[in-house]
Amino acid sequence: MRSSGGVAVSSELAVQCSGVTKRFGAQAILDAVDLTIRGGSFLSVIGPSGCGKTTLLRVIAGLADIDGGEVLVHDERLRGPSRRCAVVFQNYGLFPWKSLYNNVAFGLVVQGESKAAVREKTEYFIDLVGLRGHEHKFPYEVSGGMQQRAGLARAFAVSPEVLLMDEPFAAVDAQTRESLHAELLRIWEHHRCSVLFVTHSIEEAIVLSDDIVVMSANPGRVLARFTVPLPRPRREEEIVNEPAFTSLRREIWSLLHHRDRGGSPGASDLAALASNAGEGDRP
Amino acid sequence: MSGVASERAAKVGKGVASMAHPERAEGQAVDPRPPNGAGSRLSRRHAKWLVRAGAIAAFLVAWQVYGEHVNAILLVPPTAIVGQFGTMLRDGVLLNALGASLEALVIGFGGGLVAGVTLGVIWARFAVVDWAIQPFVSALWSTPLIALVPLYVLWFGFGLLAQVMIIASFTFFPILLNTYQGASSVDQALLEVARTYGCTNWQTWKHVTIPSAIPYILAGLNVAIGHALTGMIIAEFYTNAVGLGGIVLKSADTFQTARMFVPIVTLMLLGIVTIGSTRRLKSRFAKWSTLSEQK
Repeated sequence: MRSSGGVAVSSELAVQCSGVTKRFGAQAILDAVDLTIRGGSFLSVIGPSGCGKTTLLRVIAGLADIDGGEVLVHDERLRGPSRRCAVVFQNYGLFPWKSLYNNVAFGLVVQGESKAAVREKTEYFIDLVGLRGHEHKFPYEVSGGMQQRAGLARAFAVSPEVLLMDEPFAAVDAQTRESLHAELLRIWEHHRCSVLFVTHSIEEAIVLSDDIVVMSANPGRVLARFTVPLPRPRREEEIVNEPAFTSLRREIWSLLHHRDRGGSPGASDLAALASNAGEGDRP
Repeated sequence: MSGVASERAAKVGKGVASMAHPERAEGQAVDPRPPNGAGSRLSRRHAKWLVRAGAIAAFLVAWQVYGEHVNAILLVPPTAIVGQFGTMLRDGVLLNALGASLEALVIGFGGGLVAGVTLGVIWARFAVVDWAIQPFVSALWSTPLIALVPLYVLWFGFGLLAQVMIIASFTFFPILLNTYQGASSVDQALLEVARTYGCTNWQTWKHVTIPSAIPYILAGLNVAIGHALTGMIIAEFYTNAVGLGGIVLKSADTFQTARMFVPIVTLMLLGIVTIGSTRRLKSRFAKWSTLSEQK
């Protein structure tokens, strides 16, 4: 087992997917996907629904088998869920019968931390995500935004080397989402890990990420990879008007839509991306 | 009618006033409403209890009037039952019988509960057990358990053991089936959460499967208590005649109708108490569940 010294691993590759293929019946959900995440970097995967971005995340989380290719997490071949990874789920994945406190403590408890360590870390992350005063409430008693704060705290609490986030803010309203972006970046600055962030929002991807991978659907392939040329720390309300932000957004947008003739995004979008997936392999 | 008219007048007045004198409008708007709203809510709750009490009173009065005019062997009025209740309470007969019944009930119910939950969990956990157990469960579930009671007496005699076994059997099935259903209908997404945090099998059961089965088990408890009370009385009919069922049987045999009604009323009260306590259990342990909101 290789040790990870936080920033010290930044030159290594945290995740390497090579030729990852996943089929449901005859349909290829993922078709020879290559993807790497640099240690300590924040990578977003974006693409139309059905492009397999969530499936890719589930593969790296060890929740889904693959039909071909290889996934390495810190140079170790993946066999099922790994304690190196923690997942933040789209629907929060909180246990409704546990208080927010016990939800945050969950990973620490099952991973065999001592009682004192569980208490100390749980308290710390409760504070860090701003749940103090609500920690004894149950998930059904608080807003979606607060539930996902608990989801974030639970994932960060186990000090993962790789954090996998599956459209974690898709279900909350726009204002809450912006504040959660800021929270996530703040926490991530202090508890650096490699992040794979799946989203369907171009803005969200740019605001948060170092790198962005754009995927196409039917079959799920990597179309392009971008590096976000914006310095950190970032403030969402400031960077959204910067030329670097707007030009990158335009570029990704046109990549996602470039054969879509005037239809609304959605099904027609998918069909367009599907039909040109073969020629869509961009550098 | 005048109420409606004055309310409309108040509304119009408020509309006009709020244009000219905001502070006066506020006074008008705030004053009448809260008492009104609170009052209607309160009176609705009161109305519910009034109707309830009224229905019970009407029933008792009708019973009283009718009961006084029929053969006392067939039916006695409530006052006679209350009198008899007092007598049996004073001479200790009722409490002795209740104690004997409750002893069998508690042991039998506890045993049936533990066995039902345990087997339900094992059933849900191991596919092999599922395959093996299914025909037996179907056969026993569709068999009226009462048909087995004479057999139990043959096996376990006329004493406490037979009573306990009968009550346990009556308790067992609703608990077993609900536990199985609860433990096998766990949210797949939450099982995945457990997997990603590296839960062992046992940890998954402790943190995910069992907690998510608890609302089902509590719902089963409700049904099981009814079954257990039935089992308790049937057991007493077939075994030695102590306990509440024994009084019913002996009193009926000797045409002491008022005396027969006393344990029946006691059973009703027992039912109300136990159902009430399972409801409290639900609000304590399954507050989070939508399942518990159905009742």
